[in-house]
Amino acid sequence: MSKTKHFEDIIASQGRLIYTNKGDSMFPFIQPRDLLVIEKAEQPLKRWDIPLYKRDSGQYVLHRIVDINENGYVMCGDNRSQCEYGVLQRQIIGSLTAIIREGDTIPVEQIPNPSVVKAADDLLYLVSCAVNERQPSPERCKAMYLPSVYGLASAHYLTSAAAIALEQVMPLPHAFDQSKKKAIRKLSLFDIEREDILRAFDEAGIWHVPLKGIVIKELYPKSAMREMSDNDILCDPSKMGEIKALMERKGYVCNRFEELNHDEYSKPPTLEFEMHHSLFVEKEMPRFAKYYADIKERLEPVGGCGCRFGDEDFYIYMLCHMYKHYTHAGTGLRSLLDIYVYLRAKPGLDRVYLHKELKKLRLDAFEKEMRDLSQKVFALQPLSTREHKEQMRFVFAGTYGTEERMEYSSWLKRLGDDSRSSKRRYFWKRVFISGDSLRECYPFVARHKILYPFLIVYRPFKGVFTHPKGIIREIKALNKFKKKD
Amino acid sequence: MKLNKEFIKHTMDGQTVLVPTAQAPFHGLIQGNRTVGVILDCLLSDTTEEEIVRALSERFDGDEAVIREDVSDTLRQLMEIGAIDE
Repeated sequence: MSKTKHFEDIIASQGRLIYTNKGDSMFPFIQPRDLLVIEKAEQPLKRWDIPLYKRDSGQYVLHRIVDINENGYVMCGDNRSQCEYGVLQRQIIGSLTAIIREGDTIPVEQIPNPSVVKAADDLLYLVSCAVNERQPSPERCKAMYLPSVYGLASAHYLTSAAAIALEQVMPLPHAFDQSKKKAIRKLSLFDIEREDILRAFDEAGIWHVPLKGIVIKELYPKSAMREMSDNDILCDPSKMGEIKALMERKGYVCNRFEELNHDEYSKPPTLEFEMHHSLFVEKEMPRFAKYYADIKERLEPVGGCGCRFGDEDFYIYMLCHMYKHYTHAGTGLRSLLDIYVYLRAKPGLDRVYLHKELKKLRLDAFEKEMRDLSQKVFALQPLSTREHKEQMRFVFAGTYGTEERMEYSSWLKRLGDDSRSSKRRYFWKRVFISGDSLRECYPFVARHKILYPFLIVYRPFKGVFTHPKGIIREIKALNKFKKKD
Repeated sequence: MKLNKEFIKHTMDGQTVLVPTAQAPFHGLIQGNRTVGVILDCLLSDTTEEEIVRALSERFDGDEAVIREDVSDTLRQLMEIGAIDE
């Protein structure tokens, strides 16, 4: 008789387990007759992963991680309301990576996650109540699984806004209370420091324009609803050296200078300033860089050396900035909320001017889509399937997007599509480097073309010794790349 | 007595907050009502407890004994976190 193998033994020896599920605790994510693919979990598990774990009683369970704390994982079935606390790493056998349904193998990340969907719905409800100054329903708030809502809110810098809604109907859970206080403290420190810095800019004759959150937070019902990780200020590009000296005299450390389109400064406890000499990097966003080439002409003076964008131009800048992130790593709910709050605070924007300028930037369709979506999401109007999918794109991006999204965007930019011919063309260009890449990376060979054949042999030979894993990784990613709808 | 220079009075969303800088002995946030706002305004320059009580009595209606107790209580809390230089 063959020896019975436990799940953990199969995964340990084969790295993979396929089995059929019992029970309905993960319905509708897992459906009757689905085959489940469990693989050894190589990375630390994170919220929303679905591990297979073994209770100390010997029972195997496949549930979703809804929280991680100092006591371990908090697990819950998608179709259950009771959570299981204190599941330890040693109990984890593997993680669900795919479901085989009617012969098709579906990676789990392609199946909508009902726990995240619920947490997102609850978060959007709270934030909508906050910005619309409405009291949330006490019954609905009591029914929320607040650790999941908190986790999602943190990823989107919306904990303070959610807290301001929640505290109207219940004593705030500790995490929300602390987040709100930290947000107020940080915003206050920024206000105090910024006033001091801009006064110094005035005295030194350096023109400056506050950007992004500095302006937008004033349009929220309470500034504390609009969290910020840093302050962005556009400055006179000819004075960046002077600004560096000024900031260092004020106790700031310069972490980055003349590398990007902005210089970065930090000071304890949590102060970070980005001083921009231009709004967009030409290599990354050439259309936007060109549009803002003569930035000073678009600004209005406000006193001292301070300047501002007009209302329409600020909105255009918000959209450009949002588009930049949206098409790269993705952008989170806070940017969509900013659009909603801005348009509600500025109902009299000149639509003719906006349409003309947005057409130049090829952002007219994007603006309409974001305007319509933000209105529906934060006014809690019903969404179509397509709109809901778009909303979840923001939910999964987090405030600054995801590495996965950034990598996908990067490949899409390089290839255009996922056809074999595009991939072959890309591979050819990588091996037979030419044009700007050749001039930038091998300027000597670019000037002495007779050496080019030696470069073609040298590069792959060198790569095998210096970064073989990087080469293998790039080839695998190129093969695997598939354009999404 | 005077407010320690590492604590900065600020107004956010109509509420008075006392924000410690990184050099302050206390790391947190103090939020207060209008009464606390007036007390902190008095502490921006060198003052005494008696002067603060007088300022509050001029600004707000209320029993002087209650005002005196509120001021004493607030000053004690501020001293505990190192926000006041004697």
